[in-house]
Amino acid sequence: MNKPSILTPVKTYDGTVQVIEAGADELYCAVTVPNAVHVLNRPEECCVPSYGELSRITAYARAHGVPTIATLELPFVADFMAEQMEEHVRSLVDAGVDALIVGDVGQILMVRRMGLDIPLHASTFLGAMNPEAVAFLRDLGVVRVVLERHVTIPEIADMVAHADGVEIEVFAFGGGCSNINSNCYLTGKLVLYADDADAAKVQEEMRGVWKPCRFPYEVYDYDSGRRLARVPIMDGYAFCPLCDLPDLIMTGVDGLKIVDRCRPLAHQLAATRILREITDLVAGDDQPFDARKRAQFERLLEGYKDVVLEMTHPVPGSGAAPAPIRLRELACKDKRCYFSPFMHRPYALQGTPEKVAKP
Amino acid sequence: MKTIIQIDNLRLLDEALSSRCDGVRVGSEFCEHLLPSDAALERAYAAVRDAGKPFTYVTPRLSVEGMQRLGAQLALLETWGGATVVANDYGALNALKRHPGLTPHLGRHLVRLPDRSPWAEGLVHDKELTPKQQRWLTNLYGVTSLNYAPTLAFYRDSGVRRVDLDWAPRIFQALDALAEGGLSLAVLLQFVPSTMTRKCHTARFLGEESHARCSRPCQQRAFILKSEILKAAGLRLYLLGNAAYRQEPATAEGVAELAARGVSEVVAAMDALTRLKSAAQVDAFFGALGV
Repeated sequence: MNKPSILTPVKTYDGTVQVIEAGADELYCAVTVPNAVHVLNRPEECCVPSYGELSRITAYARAHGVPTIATLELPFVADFMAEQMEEHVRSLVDAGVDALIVGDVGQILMVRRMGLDIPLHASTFLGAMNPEAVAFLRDLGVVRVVLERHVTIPEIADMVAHADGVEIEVFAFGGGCSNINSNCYLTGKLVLYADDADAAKVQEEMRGVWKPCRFPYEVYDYDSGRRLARVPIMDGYAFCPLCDLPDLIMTGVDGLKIVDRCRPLAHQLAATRILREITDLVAGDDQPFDARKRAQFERLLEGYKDVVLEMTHPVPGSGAAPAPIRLRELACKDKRCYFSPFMHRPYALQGTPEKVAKP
Repeated sequence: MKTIIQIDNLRLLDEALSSRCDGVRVGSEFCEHLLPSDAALERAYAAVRDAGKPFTYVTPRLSVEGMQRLGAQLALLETWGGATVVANDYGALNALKRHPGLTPHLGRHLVRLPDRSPWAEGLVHDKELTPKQQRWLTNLYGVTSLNYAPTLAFYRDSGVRRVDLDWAPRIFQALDALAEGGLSLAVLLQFVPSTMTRKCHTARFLGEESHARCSRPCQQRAFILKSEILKAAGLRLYLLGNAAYRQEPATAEGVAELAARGVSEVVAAMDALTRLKSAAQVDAFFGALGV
């Protein structure tokens, strides 16, 4: 059985030492692009602070047999920033990264035009959800494709089976995007500027929430103007992969990525240890995933379910403070599972909306 | 400047064809479950051709199953005599290489366009930024991912001659380079998609149980999303099916500017957001824009 790599995000040298100790097979990270404004991807605080720090990370990782992969951070390239991006890519390569994650056809072309012989991984920004899309990216020269996160295990198995030499990586822990990365423009820094905004109300609504896909929205019928509900209708809370991990690993997938570079080190360490333990159990030897292994897996699962996955978003006006939500509450009770059918129970963190009539 | 109507509901086909529009697009940009069956596609193809208009098939992001279905439909379209196919998935674009009788048209989901962000206006005027940063952001929100010469050359060399873009005035100037680069440009009017999902927000909100049994409420109903945060950003979002949009009303002056910049088509969707339901409404809509 193919044993997938566990990819853990890092932001610092100290974190690198700890996640490798916890069992990461590969590291991924980004460095702030000099003189760019990070509005289309993760904020700057989610990046390695300098190329110098990246050099320390790659040196330590390489000494421990762990590759470091850098995402280019900006999801595309245009003429006005091409020189800036080329310089950034050269700096990443000079800092010793082993591969680059690219988010756009133009970035692939740019790296190749630079004459750099470095492996390229296609980011979720390239939105691969079917074998034809994987083939398109393979023909462009990428060696690994990170699939769009909203795919089922049978779909992943199909893409692995038809990958034709390209490695397939999937998001396997954390991350709550409910939308398709490559088509989502909701992320980024919010600038609130309307003169008539009620600052107190805004502040209260934003408590514990910084992603627009988690905002509670007042939903109105477009034609009648009638108010229907107040719900976080985009429902961008985390999904859990754990119960499905054995089936996922048995698809033959090459990489399991822990999502979200912004999360604290404690989360990355916990996620790495969990994935390490399960991966080793399922694919660590030549034995099939039989009843004995299944029973052991179930015992491990019970222990993991108290991991804190999210913080609550209290209803405005309730006066409640954000509180930790454990995996068993968020994922198990509400069936928020990665790789599952797509009509999971919605809006658990805000209660269920009143019944809304279909047209 | 040609006027094009786009529909994902075939019950609107007769009205679309009765209008004075120059072309009709059939299919869906956003949801593979809205793609027609082979039989319905054949009927639509025949109706559009009988009306003397070119047939364009619009396709969305595609799952494994969706790609398999589309693969078969591409072969049918080629057999029937050819069509333009709007590809919003790299898989569809790849499959089109095997169908020289079909004309590939790059869909807007394959073109990164930062100005789709509802926050763009606030960001370029963010007082916390330095003038240099503001200039950089103004540049960023004024381009598309096609405004990189090697990308443009790649698509041209791959046989792509047409591309969809949004009505986003911040990028109008950047369209010059694309038109000069040999692309035929189509601009979709009125609503700019800020995000989309496979976990359909509308279907889940209305309690649909599965994609397979979805009653397609998006063909009849849309929603407005409001919040204090959006209000503070001077915004509201619109939800139609699995996509949330910001509104960007088209103007006659803007259409004239697009024409001057070499844009060849403007496209309006007949759907629950635009509220275009009849040929008369379509004609009045385009008439008000001077086309």
